[in-house]
Amino acid sequence: MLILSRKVDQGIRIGDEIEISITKIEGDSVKIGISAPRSISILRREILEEMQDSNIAAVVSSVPSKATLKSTLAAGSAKKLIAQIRAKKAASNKGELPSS
Amino acid sequence: MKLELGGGTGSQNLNQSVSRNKVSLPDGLFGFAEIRSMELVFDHEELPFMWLREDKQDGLAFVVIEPGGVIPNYSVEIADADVQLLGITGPEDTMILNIVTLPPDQSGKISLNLVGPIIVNRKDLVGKQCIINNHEEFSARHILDVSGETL
Repeated sequence: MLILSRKVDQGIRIGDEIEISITKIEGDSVKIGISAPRSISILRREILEEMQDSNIAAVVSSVPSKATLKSTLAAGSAKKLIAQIRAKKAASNKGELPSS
Repeated sequence: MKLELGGGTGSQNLNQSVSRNKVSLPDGLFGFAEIRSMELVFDHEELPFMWLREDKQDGLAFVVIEPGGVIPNYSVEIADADVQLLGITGPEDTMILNIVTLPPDQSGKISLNLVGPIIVNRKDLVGKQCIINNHEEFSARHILDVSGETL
């Protein structure tokens, strides 16, 4: 990893289109300005880690081909949950779509 | 691009077609970069919940849900680059799938990732898990609140 020292109001240029500037330093926190084309995705690293953790928590492995929610959630609770969510969906559809 | 979610959009189109759809995921999923395609499978008894799973023995699977009508005020703003990559033009040809986390204790308290939905082009079934531009408005662990409903 390339490590550079920069002071406030100094910057770094990456390629032709990306510029990073140090705008403010306060205690242990640094404010960074980034100019880049809109097509470049800029994200805080934590959010990517959060997405990875979330997917890992959500994944169900080795699902038998007949996997159902009923076998994953306790039987009664899956049925109830599905019914509740359908009721919620139906309530929110009311007034938006004529029933056909 | 901002997509507002009416309660009406959603699985209707899917219901009428086949119950298995192969979704290509050229970029994989966060934490699962090696995945390239999964199939979207559902059982009518379980809708609106569906399964996104690898089409192989002992593959990985996720429970997913289309948020329309389920999450009030949910809207997704998708980065221009992702809109272009997926070739989507508007809500009609866009399917949004939120990954569901089932509680390990079977308490029924399930959560949805509203920050990183899988956005799928309905026409060619190419999808990508995108971090929405308006991610600060929503939670990656949104507890699905169904308490107080009539059932």
